[in-house]
Amino acid sequence: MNKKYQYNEIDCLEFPQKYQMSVFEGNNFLIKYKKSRNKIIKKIKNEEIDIVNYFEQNYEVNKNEYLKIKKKECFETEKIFKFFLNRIFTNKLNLKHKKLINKFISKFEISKKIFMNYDYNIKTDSNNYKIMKNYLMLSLICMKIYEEENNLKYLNATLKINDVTTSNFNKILDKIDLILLKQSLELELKQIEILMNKKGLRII
Amino acid sequence: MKVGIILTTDNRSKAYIQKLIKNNIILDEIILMNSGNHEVKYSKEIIQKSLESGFDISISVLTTLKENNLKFHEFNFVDINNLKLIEYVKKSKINYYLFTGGGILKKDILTAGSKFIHFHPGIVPDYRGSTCFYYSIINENNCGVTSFVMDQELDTGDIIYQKKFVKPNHKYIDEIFDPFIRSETMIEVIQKDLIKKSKFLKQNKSDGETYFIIHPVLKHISIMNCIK
Repeated sequence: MNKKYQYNEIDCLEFPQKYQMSVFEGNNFLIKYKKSRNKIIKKIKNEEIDIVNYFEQNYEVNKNEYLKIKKKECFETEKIFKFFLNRIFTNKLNLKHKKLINKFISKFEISKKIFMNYDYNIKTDSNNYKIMKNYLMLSLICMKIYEEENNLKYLNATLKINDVTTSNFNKILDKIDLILLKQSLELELKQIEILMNKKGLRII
Repeated sequence: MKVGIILTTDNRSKAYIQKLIKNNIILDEIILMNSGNHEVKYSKEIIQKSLESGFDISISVLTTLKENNLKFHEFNFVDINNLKLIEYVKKSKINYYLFTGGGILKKDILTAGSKFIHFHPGIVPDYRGSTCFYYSIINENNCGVTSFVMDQELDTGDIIYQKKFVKPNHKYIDEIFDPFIRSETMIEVIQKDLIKKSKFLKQNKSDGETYFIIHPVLKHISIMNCIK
């Protein structure tokens, strides 16, 4: 048995986790998981940054990027995710948005990567999958939807994306990115605790 | 109507073949895909749990076949899309093969002349994906199996039969519970003659949910929910 939480020990972008036939280790595994997440959270300084306001900036530019999909044009992932987060924080996320988010989740679940650009079919010829902000934003998007819907598909995706981001923690330098990571990890831990409470379970 | 089975050397196949024998069911053909992997040694506890679930996990598929003098055709690979298997299926006179393995069947094998029946560990369309029963145990405290005729997509084929199971009271979900629920459903499908009756239900492919491989944290919650 591993002494540490093993799913973010090595760079998950270079060596993607498959998660197939993972071994049951009992309560000890959940203790290791919680400890690993908290260790990262503690390393991030508290910053007075208004995340909601951050996603309001350049709203028109981000919206126009989203509209490129309708025009069957290529788009920049970062702008689209910013647009989605704005929609989420203003309670304006609709079914069409969610359908597209689900496509990104499928893409990530299969390749364990998020690329810089995609075309309207969510196919890409980009080689750049190392933009941490994209992973951080998709993780937060999933957590926010999970909070509303309790569909485990979103919590599952967040757990995997957060393995990617925490395995690359030393490469996350931007203040906003660090805040996004902190928020996403805190929400993830909170929702795991809520889920366990619902099932009458506790991490002891 | 001729029905055959394609086995591998995994635990699921052990449950399938042992239960067929126990229920005196004789199929028209047995194919074994065997890449020669060594058998895993299991603890007394897990063997006991498998016996309680109607099969012995410590007995290999090959041993079961030989000890029961069953005729079988053996391939030295485990790949449902292998060209040699496709050529073999093309020459066979089997209408339906029960397929114990996983993965997606490609066009060449699907158009080789026989149809393939899968026992998926989830009630479709709500639960698609190979580890969906873990999600179902968390969401509903139970899970189920859907028997369907395989097509080119993931878990979207025409439904033959669906059966629900209560969650297990042990932690051996992959090793014991998964083979148990699938093999139980297979026996019911055969005993009820549902393949020959051919009253299959079409799925709306856009309905339902596909769950990707479960993250170990959620898998732990699911298993701990079983043994609490």
